[in-house]
Amino acid sequence: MMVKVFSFDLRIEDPAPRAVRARGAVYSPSGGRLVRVEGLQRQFSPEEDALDFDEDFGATIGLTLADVVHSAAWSEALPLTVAVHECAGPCLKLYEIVEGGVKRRLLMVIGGEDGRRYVLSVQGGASPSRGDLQKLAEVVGVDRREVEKLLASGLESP
Amino acid sequence: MVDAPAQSTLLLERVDYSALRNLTAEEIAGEVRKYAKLLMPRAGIDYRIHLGPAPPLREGEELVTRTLSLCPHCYSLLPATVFRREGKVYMRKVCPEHGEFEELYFGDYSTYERYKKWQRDGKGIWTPNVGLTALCPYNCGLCPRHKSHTALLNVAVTNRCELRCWYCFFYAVKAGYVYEPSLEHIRFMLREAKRMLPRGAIAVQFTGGEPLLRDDIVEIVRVAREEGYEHVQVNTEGIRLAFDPELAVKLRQAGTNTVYMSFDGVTPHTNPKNHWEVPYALENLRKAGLGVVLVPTVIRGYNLHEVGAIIRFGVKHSDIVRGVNMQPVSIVGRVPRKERERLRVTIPDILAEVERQTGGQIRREDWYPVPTVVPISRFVEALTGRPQFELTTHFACGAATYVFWDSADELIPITRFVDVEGVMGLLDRAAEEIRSGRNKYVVLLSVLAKLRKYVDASQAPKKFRKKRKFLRMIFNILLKHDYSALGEFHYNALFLGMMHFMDTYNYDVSRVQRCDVHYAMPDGRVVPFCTFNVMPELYRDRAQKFFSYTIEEWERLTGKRLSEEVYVRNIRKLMSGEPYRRAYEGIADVFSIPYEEHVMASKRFGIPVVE
Ligand code: SF4
Ligand code: SF4
Repeated sequence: MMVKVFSFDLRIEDPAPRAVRARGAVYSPSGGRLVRVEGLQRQFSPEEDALDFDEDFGATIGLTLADVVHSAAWSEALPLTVAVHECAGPCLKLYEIVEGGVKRRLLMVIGGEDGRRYVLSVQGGASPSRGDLQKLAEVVGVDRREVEKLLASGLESP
Repeated sequence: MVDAPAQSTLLLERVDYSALRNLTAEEIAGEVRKYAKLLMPRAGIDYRIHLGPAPPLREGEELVTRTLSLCPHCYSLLPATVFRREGKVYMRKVCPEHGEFEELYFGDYSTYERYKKWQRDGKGIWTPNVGLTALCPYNCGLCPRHKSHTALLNVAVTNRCELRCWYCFFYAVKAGYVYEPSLEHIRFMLREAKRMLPRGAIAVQFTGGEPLLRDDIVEIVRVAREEGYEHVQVNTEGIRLAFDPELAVKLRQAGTNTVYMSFDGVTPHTNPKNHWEVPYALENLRKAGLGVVLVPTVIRGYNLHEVGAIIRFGVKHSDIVRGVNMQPVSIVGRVPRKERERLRVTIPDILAEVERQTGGQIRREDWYPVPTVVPISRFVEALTGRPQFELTTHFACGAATYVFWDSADELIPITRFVDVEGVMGLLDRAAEEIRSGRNKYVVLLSVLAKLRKYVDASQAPKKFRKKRKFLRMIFNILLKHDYSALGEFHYNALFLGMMHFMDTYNYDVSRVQRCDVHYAMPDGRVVPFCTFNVMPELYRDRAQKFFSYTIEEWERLTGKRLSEEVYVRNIRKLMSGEPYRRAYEGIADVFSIPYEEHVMASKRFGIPVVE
């Protein structure tokens, strides 16, 4: 399964000002632990990647291709990179997003047996419920504490 | 969502609607939702994606922004450059197949910048009706990326119409089918929009075709009330209301709050659609106590010169007219550039004309873009802890103001005695204080105390000055935590609004993603107005045709003849009535226009006349 992760620093002035920075990584289970998967980095291609971009950010932080197009640098290359990962089974995407000085983490679990996509958004220092973390851990096939650990250490996690 | 129907169903152009018409709302839900996927726009067939670089700027142009738009010929998604030239804002895009299109986007750059400051985005849709399967705007809806909840739900209840306006290809006779969802089907659509989060729809407008052609329109209004809709509007050309006083009474009793009535000007030349009938419709609405909003479509070179007179007409009939909601023309079909330039008018162009034609009484600065009022919602939300109804459309979509008067000669816009920016800033700061943990009652008291500072009663109309009535109304809105207090506001003022529905030439995906005027679809989707009507083959017509009767079926079921439903106007009779004379007196000298010209205006428009 191909999993894309987007990294960007977007500054939008129109129709409303926004400055959003996002970094992400993919983790997959290995020996009961969540291990970072290395991806292949390339430039964002609107025709290939836009729908995946909207899927990750449209409902979670209200950012879509149309907003990206409004960012100042569209005329040149978009200020966006994509890392493409290959995952054999369920995996977890972690995004760290900073906007207006507020940090938010997005945990997305994909590739589970039910084919659904689970998204958990954690703003600032808030602690997500154990039940939610448990659900993500179950789908990805690790112990809940692994997800908690990942959330605590963020993208520093190996 | 139920799985897509079997492959063979893809070949179906329509379901057998007579088999659905007697089902309950629950049964309808089980039957129709599965068709939503099938009816979605198809990539490569209905549209293409061409996302190369946006067109470069040319000499004398300055970049405003870049966005996504559509090819007016093939609906392909295209990057577009929005730029400024000689004080105006334009859009340019290039379709690899159909070439370059340049269009006026906003008639005044400084107004664009002023309005932009008011942009506030919504909280998105937490309960989307469809999954994310295509780029915007081919994924309606509402899809998970849509930014605004439904503020006004439109439900088309028929495509029949008794008029034959020359430009319309939509009504049943021309379309070749009758779209007329059953009462229970309408109930299902209302429920789909009501259950949405963070805010379900609470205001609905029944539209058409001509909704008053339905024998059960009163029942439809009742169903909306039963389903918890707090505000019910009926959109009409007013012909039936002119001739059937009982209808207005019944609509009001069933729970209609407002009638939305087309009204394009004060003379037969500018309003051949219903110039002669409007006075009688107003008379009947007056007797029924049912308020009306006049809705002019404004076109350059056609009725732009009458916007001031339309407002004066509204003021003259303000005992029953609650507002005037102008709609700059949306150019449908393929129209050559020269012709578009002749017709095109945008919000700032109308604001300038209103200022000129009211002798400066209503100035451009008196209007604010729609999202200006968001701080009220955010403040109430901070107080109550519940997501509130908020108007988070794109700033370029619409503008509004209120006018008051002591005598009809002196219109006083709200901005002359209320510092709108001050009030909204106050509410913004107060909401922030509550969110950061300050006691909400303390904040509320301080807001109420400070509010006086922003209202200059000495500049207000006399009736407010005396009783400080207006201040009390604002207090009520804040204290009651809802907008019912606005009801009182409406009865003392005339609402002036504007909404510039888009077309393929000026289409901006950023606008439609923020749209809060939505249509309920017969398959359970909810679709923004500016995809529903701008790409009718992909949304409106496809879905309506799918759930329609053939003309023969409909005639057999109802015993009516569609071709006989044609309104024939008796101009002489209408002009001889007292309501006609009174309605235009002091506004336009309609009797100085020769009778033959009245007749010509009607006929040219497509409405036959008894002679
Ligand atoms: S207009 Fe709204 S509902 Fe339609 S595709 Fe775009 S975001 Fe989705
Ligand atoms: S209907 Fe069109 S003009 Fe109105 S808010 Fe929606 S997108 Fe904007």
